[in-house]
Amino acid sequence: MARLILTKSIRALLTVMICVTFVFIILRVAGDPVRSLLPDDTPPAVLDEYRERLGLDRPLVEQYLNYVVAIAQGDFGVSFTERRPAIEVVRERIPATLQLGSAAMALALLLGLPLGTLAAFFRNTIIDRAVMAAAVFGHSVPHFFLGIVLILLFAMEWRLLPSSGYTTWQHMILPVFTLGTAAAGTIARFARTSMVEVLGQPFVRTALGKGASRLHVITRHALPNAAIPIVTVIGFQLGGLVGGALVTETVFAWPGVGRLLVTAVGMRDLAVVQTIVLLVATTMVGANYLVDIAYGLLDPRIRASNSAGIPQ
Amino acid sequence: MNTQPAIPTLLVAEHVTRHFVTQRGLFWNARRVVRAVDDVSLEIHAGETYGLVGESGSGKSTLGRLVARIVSPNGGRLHLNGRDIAESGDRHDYARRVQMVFQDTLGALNPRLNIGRQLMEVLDIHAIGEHASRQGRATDILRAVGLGEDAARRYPHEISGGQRQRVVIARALLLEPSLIVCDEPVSALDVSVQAQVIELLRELQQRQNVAYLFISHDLRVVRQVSHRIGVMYLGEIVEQAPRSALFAAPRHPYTRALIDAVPSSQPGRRRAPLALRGEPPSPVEPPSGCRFHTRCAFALPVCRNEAPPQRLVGPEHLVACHLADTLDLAA
Amino acid sequence: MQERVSGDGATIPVLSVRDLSVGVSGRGNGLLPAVDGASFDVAAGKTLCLVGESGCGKSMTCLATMGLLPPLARITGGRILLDGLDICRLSESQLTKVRGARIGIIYQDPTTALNPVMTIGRQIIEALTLHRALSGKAAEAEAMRLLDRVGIADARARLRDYPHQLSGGMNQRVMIAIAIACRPRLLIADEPTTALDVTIQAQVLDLLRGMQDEFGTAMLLVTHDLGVVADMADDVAVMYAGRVVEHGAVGDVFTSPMHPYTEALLACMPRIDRDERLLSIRGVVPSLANLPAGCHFRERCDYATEPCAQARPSDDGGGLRRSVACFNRRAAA
Repeated sequence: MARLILTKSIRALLTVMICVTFVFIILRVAGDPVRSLLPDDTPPAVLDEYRERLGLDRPLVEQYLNYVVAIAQGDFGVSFTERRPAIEVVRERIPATLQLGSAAMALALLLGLPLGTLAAFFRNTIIDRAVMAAAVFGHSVPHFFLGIVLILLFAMEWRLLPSSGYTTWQHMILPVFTLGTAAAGTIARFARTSMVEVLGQPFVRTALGKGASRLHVITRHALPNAAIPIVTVIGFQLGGLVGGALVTETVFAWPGVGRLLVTAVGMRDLAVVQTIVLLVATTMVGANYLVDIAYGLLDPRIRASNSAGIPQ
Repeated sequence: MNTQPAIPTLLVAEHVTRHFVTQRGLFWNARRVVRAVDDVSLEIHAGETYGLVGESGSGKSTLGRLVARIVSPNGGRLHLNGRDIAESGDRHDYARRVQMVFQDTLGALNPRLNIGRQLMEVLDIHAIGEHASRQGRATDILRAVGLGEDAARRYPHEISGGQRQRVVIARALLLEPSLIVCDEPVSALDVSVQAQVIELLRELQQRQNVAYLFISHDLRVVRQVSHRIGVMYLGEIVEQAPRSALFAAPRHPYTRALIDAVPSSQPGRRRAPLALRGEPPSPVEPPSGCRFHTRCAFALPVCRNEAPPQRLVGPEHLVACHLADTLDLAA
Repeated sequence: MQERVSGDGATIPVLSVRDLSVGVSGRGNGLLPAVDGASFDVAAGKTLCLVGESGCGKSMTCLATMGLLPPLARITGGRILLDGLDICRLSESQLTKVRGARIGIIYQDPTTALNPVMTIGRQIIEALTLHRALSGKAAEAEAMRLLDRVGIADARARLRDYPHQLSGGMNQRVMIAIAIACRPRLLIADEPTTALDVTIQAQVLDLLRGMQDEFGTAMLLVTHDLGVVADMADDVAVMYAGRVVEHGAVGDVFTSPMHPYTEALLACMPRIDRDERLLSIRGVVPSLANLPAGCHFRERCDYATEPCAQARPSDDGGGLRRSVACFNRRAAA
C-alpha cells in the first residue's frame, strides 16, 4: 500500500508540473500577452515598457524559472481588474463554489447510487427503464436550460424560492438541484452498469448459496465490488467541482470561482484566468490521486500489483 | 502405433528457453521472471503425433508457440528440416510449413467474415495458385474436414463448437504445412464431438503425412492420438517416451502421479492414492534442484541440490530423475 | 479398498426430485424446456452423479434445487423434496434458512466463486454467523478448524488472505469448507473439478469423499466426465437435452447401459487404461429451440424406430432403482 501511495504521489506531482508548464507555454504562444492586456491603440513605446516591466523581454528559460518560483511562493500575478493579487481574488470565491459543489455532490450520490442499484437489481423491468430514462434526461439537459426553467417555475410562477443570490439556505436549493441532477444521472448509469456486471459474477451465487438475504448480498458483497468503476466516475465529478459549475453559477448569480472565470475571460484578466486554470488542474489531479488511493483501499488485487492498477 | 524404420526428423528443439518478465521493478522491487520454458529439447518426426502433456504452469503452451514461431526463444535453437528457423525466412514463409490450431475457436476466427472469406484470405495472403482456383481450394478443404459447401457462407457464431474446430483445422491445412501445433484443440468440446475431431485429425495425418505437436492437459486424449509423448512440469520435460512405454512403465514419479490422478473408467475400483503432496509451486520461484522434489514422495537430499540430467532408459525413452534406475513405478 | 454398493433406499432419501421442469425464456418464443420432467433421489451418505453434455440441463437442475435460477428461468412443474419438505413452495426468506444450513453448494471455478475483495476468513465466518450464531473469537476458531479439516496448511495465516493469493485447488478447498460449515444434509457440487489440474482434481475428489464418509452427507455431483462418475458415484442419472434418459446404480449403468445415448457416451470416452479407436455420436446436441418431437435423441440414434418420433418415452415403471426412457432399450443386465 505504501508503494502505491508513493507511486501515485510522484505521478500527481509530475502531472501538476506539466500543467504549470503548459499554462506557461499557452499564454506565451497564444499571441503577445502584452497586446491582450492593453488596448489596441497603445503606442509601441508603452507596449515595450510594459513588456520590460512584466519581464517579457527576458529569455524564455529565465521567464519560465521566474514563473515557477513565483507560483511556488504563491504569487500568481496581479489581477488587472481588481488591482489585487490574483490569488486573493480567487481565494475569496472558493468557499461559495465548495458549498455549492459539495451539496450537489451529496445530492448526486444520494440520488444516483440507490437508483442505479435499484435499476440493476430490477434490470430489464419497467423500474429499470424508468430510472435509466430519468438518468439520461438528467444528464442530457444542459445546466442553463434546466436552471432557467427552474427559475421560471419556482421563482417567477410559484414564487417559492429566490432566483439568485447567495445569502440564505433557500438560495441554495435551485442551483444545487440543477448541478446535482446532472451528476446524479451519470452516477446512476455507471452504478447500474457496474452492479449488473457484478451481480452476474459467480461469487454472488456463492453468497446467496450460504443463505444470505438478497439485501445482505447486495450491500456486503456486490457493492464493494461494484464500487471501483463508480469511484472513478465520482472522481471525475469531484475534479470538476471547482470551476466546472460556471454555467450554473452564472445563471444563478452565485459568487463562485466559475462565475469569476467567466468574468475574467471577458475582461482579459490574464492573471486571474491563469490562477483559475491552475486551480482546476490541481483539483483534477488531486481528485484522480484520491481515486487511485481509493482503488488500493477497495481492491486488494490492486494493492498487490501496487502500481499499475491492473489486477494480477 | 507401429514403429516405422528411419522416419526423417522434422523438427528439433535444442535447449530452448523462454522466459517472461512479469513485473517491472520500481526502485527496490526486483523483476520477477517466469521461466516458462527452461532448457527443453525434443524431436518430432515427419508424419507423427508428439503429445505434449502437462498441467497449468508447465510451459506446454509456450513451447507450442515457440515451435509455431509466434514467440522467439531467449536461448537455444529450433530447427525445421535441419535449418535453424530463426534464420530461414520470416514468419510469413514459416507459416507455409508450420501452422497452429487453438482451443478458443470463437477467438481464433474473425466474427465479421464468413467462413469462406476467411479461408480465401489465407490463400490470398500467401498467393496460392491462381485467383480463380482459390474458391475451389477452399471448398475442397471444407469437404476434406467433413463440412459441406454451405458452411462457407456461415459466420463463426452460427455454427457449433465442433464445426468451428473443423474450420480452424481446415484453415491450418490450406497451406499444406508439414507440422501443425494443436493447443488443446478438443478441450472445449463435448465428449461426443471430441471423438469426431480426433478421428478427423487422424485421417488427415494419414492422408497428408502431416505431423502434429498435440498439446493437452488431458492424458486420456493424449493417449488416443500420440505416437510419442512428452511430460512437462514447471518448464521442463521430465519424461519422453513412445506411448506404450510411457503408460506401461513410466519412470518419473510425476508421470506416475499424472496417470494415477486420471479418474478411472470403471466404477467400484478406487483410485490408488497419489504419490503426490501439496500444491504446485509458483513458476516464478521454482524449487531448487529437481523442480518436482517438493511434491515427490520419493525425494532424497540430492533431489533438492542438483537438477537431474536427461537419461536414456529405453528405446527413445528419456527421463530426468535421479532415481530413475531404482524406482519401480509400474502400476 | 471398499467397493461402493448402491443403497437399498429403505429410509426417506435426503433429496427427492419428482418431475422437475424448468423453463427458460427464449427470444420471444415462449419458454424453452431446459429441464423436462426430471426425477431422481439422493440418499444420506450416498452420491448421485448427474452426467451429461452441454445443454442437458444438469446445472439448471442444481440451481433450481437451491432456488437460485437466473432471472429468465423458472420452475414450471414438479417437486423438490428435501427431507420430505417441498422447497419449491418456500418463500425467499424461508429459502435463506435452507441454503447454507441444509444444502451446501460448490461451483465450478473456485477463484471467481469467491468474493475477490473479502478475506477468506470473513467469507467462511459469514457462513458460520448466518446459521450457527457464532461470532468473534469462536467463529474464528471454528473457521481455522474448518480450513484444517479441508487440508489447508497454516490456517491462521490463510484466514487473512484474499482469493487471488491462493491457487485454484486451495480456493476449491475453501469453497468446500464454506459449504460444509453448517453440516448440511445435502451437498451439491456443480462440476467442482473441471477448472482444476488433474492432480489437484484427484485430491479434491478424495476430500469430498472423505467429508461424505465423516458427516454422512448426501451428495449431488454434476459432471460431464464419466471418469469422475465412475470414481465417485453410487448412483448415476444420465441427462440429455433436458431429460433424464437413464438412471440406476453406477455399476449397472456402466456395465450394461440400456439407453442408446448412455451406450454411445460410454463408447466415446477416451480411456487412460486402453488404446482404442474412439467412437463418436453423429450429429450434434439439438438446441432447446429446435428439439425433435418425441424422443430428443432419435436423430442421432442408431436404433430409432417409428414410435420414437411419435411420443416421448417415459421412464418404465421400475421406479428409480433402474429406469430408462427408451422404446428400444438395449439388452438389460
